Amino acid sequence: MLERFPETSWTLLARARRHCDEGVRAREDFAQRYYRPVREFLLVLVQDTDQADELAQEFFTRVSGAGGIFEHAHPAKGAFRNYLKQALRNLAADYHRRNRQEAFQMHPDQADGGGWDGMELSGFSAAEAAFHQAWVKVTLAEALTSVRALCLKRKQEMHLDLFEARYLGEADLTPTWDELGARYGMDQKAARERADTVVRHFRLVLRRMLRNEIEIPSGARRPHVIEAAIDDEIRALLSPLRD
Amino acid sequence: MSDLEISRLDHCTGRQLKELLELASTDEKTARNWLLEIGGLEQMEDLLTEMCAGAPQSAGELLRAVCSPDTPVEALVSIKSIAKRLAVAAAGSPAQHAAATLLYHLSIASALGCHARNISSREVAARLPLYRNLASELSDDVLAGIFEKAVSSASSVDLDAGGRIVS
Repeated sequence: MLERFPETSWTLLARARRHCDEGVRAREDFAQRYYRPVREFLLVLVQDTDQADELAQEFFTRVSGAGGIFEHAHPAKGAFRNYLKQALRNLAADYHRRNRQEAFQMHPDQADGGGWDGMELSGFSAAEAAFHQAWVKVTLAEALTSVRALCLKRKQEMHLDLFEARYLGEADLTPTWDELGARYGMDQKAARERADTVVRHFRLVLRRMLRNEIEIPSGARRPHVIEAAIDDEIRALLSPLRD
Repeated sequence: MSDLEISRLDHCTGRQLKELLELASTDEKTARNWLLEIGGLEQMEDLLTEMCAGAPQSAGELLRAVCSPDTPVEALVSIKSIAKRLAVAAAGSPAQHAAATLLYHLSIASALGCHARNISSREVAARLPLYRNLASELSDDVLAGIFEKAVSSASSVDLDAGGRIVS
């Protein structure tokens, strides 16, 4: 098996809700994994780094305990990131209720007709876009960390260098395969083949991560159904991203 | 997740993030080496389970057997035959055909690596380039390890001019 394969969001959450030492450690892991998307979401909404940090802190302390933010969360109810986003929306609504006066000044349109409980803050869509971008980065970073470990173990450092130069370099300066090959004294075909080895590791690692995040009914676990569900998840991650 | 990867991704544009995600999609229109696309034992078992329906041994049992150094040579010979039949039957499905083919090679590699025995009619030397490649390129450590052990074992035994093990 691949080393240090990331735990699924749901299993990590289940551990984080425990009231024991293991729960404390899991809450730290949970916060480390999701801090960035959570903070990005909050920062867009409150436009203040200190407040965003404070709210992020509050968010993660509410993961566990009775009435915790994920008390009714369950894999069968949908993607974990959607739960996380909904929990953030609730946290933001609570925050604005607590700061009602200030909030009405920022969003006077919410003074009538349902107030804050039914509000649709104009900033939510931007906050969700920021959350999604950060979520994708965290997911890709987890996959790339596993891929790096695998390449080092297989003595494929050059393969990894070629992959990184091609896919993670400066966007406007993406080298051609000829240029990449020349850096290592090989032709473009050899350079591409080495990078493709890492692409394959990356594809398998990421697909396995995503497979662990999606709920597939036990009666439908046929290989082509699983693969199609993973492709659907990739499309769901792709569609909100902006160039 | 390392800070190194996050900082690299922070410099990526949305287009680059999309490109990375698309690399993981099977929608990608590039030729695939199905044998190397087997992600691991779990995926192999998924692919073989359907094919083994009604058979005396389940896919999981076959896989556990080829991965165990304690499986007798006779059992590996039997798995090789089963795998060959499965591969022929799965000719229409590239992924399932690859899973059965990999099982076939795993049985041969396991016999070579764990018992220094060649259970194939082909010479060991003829298998080595493929097994070196599988040891290096397969993403799953357990599967790659079986081919690595086979290559290592083949290097330490005496082969005759035809690439056959000299006992």
